[in-house]
Amino acid sequence: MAEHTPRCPLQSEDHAQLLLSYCARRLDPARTAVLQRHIDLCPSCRAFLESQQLVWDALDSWNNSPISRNFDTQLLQRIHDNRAPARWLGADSWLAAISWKPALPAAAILALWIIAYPTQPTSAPPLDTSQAEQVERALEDLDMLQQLRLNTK
Amino acid sequence: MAAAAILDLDAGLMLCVRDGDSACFGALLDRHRNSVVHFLYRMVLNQAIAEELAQEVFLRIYRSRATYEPSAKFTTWLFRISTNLAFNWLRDEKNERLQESLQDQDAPSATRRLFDHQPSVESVLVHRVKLNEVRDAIAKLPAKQRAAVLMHKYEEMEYSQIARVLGCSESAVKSLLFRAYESLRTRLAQYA
Repeated sequence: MAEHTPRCPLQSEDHAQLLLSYCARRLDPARTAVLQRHIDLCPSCRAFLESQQLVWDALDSWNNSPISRNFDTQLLQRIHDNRAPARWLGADSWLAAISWKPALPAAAILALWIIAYPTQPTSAPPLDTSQAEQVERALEDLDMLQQLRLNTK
Repeated sequence: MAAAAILDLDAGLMLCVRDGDSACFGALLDRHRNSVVHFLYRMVLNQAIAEELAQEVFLRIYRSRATYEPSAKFTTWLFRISTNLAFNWLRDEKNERLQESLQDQDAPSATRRLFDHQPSVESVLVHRVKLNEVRDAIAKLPAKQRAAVLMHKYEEMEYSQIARVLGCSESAVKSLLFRAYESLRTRLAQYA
């Protein structure tokens, strides 16, 4: 085996691809012929190919198992189940289907209107001094009334 | 790459699926069902799990039909999804334990039958034992090496495509395959 013969540089990590492709019969005829001439002269590569051929044969013997008959049915069911919520979420697609482009100019005009004419907060006119005094007096009267009620109780 | 994708029949079918033709999805399923299930079976070593994962692969393909763009070969995308799902499954410690127990169940039963002289033909049993050796040798490979070998051997993919599926460089794939086949040569040295 390879232990008894010096390892050929073709078996290095960089070049082993050539031997692997040869074993897999994936090399073009020209390269196959060149490599074949090398293999005839190189016992190390012959040993490498023999052991690789064993691996290849072993992998070839691993046949495929039959697939369940209901594979497609189950898949279609899963697709259907997956699609079902889409009906419930139909509003999303309905909203997405609406073209919002015509509404954009109207929205822009409205935005400009709001910026140009901001709504003023409705504030009460300021009270003059006499009115303020009247309010103060009214509040004092209320206080007095409350105190009277408390005293009578 | 885009030019190559245009020539890709699968990409054409997928574009039909994107346009709402469900018959094209059936055609894609027919073309790739077997390879995906068999690849996943060899990755996870369990037929039921492989089929479940394969359904998930096709479900994901179907779900992403609306956003599909033929920027790469369809099979690269297909096997990328398959590989990722297999990696995730293998990464799950619980599943790995189940996998080990399944292997343990399979291996001794084959040997037991061999020594029990069950009525089956000897060559069939020998074949089963050898098959277990192969399964065992593949199962002992790290997940990425395993995926690379399966794509190289059974799907006959080029190094460049395996690299795209695994999201690594071509030289990294060469290295993965070199190490994987080296391990297999050692483990299957007695296989003849």
